[in-house]
Amino acid sequence: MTTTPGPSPSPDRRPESVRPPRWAEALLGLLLPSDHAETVSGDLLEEYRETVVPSRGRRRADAWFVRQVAGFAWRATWLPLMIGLAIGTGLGILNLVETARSPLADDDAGAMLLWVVALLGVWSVAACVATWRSERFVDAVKAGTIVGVMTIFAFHVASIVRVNMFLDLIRHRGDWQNLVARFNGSGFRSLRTYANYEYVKGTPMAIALGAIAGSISGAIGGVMSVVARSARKLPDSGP
Amino acid sequence: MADSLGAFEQAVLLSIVRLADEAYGRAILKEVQARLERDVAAGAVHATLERLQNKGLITSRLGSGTPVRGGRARRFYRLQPAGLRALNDARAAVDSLWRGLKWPLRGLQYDHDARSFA
Repeated sequence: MTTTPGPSPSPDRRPESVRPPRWAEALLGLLLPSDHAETVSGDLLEEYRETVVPSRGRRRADAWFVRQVAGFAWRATWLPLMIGLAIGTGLGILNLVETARSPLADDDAGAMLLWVVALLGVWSVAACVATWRSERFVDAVKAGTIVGVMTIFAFHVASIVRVNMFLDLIRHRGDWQNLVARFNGSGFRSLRTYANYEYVKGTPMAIALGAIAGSISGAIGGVMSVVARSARKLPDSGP
Repeated sequence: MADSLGAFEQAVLLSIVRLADEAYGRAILKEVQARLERDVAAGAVHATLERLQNKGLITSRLGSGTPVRGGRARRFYRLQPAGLRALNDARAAVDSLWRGLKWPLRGLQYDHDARSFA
């Protein structure tokens, strides 16, 4: 008895036609080092198509894929994330303590410049350390960017807390008079609401500046790492 | 004795041993999941493979892709002599720890005559 092979699946039901969310695939490509991006994304795609979609259905398979990418994202970024959060939180707490001690003292331009230079130096060192093992310059830039963004984000949140805790005092500072003047012409009824509005509105710009400064520091850290490794590999000169 | 292997590192290395010439990323992931009887994150397996390669316990080479992978290449892994020694050392360490004890452990009653746990 002959058997007739069944019809082949229609093109849109073949495993090769099913795709995970494109944004997740694109993010995975950004996270992985270039020599592993193709093979790792191929592994995930194969598992997604051959095992996860048939067993869980399309929607849950997409959720599975996104979770896997999130896992890669965490592994690639947790160290600079934590370093940035720690630096930003530490600076935020220092700022809070300083305001509690001298609420009416204006910010000192010279001291602030020193803080900024020190911060850029710390970001460069953090990027150098974070990429010592990988030896990839682009990883240093990525690490510096993440450290910069998280530092500024944490410090900005702490600044909003500081403003809300000490508003009744710091509103009388010299460097707050511009904001108070803008409030008077703004139509807002409460200075607290207006101050929070200004700080929240400024958050994307602050984070963007942190990313730019962090990426520059990361590039410097990457150069430091390359120079340090080259110096270690130089042969000893003979007697 | 070489640096001791963690349990997950052993699982990955033993999967490479079992899979032999078919030990590529996704196959290793599925083998580890089957042996550990739980879901395992792909990132955990790949991070472990990278760490084992940096330690010199395994090497890798690129192989052909397949249509289901969108034609993307596969990376095949192979155990190195240092990896073999590390696995043997890990097994010897576990055997030494369990010497004199019967698996599975049931209670903590020590038989002084037999000089072993019941």
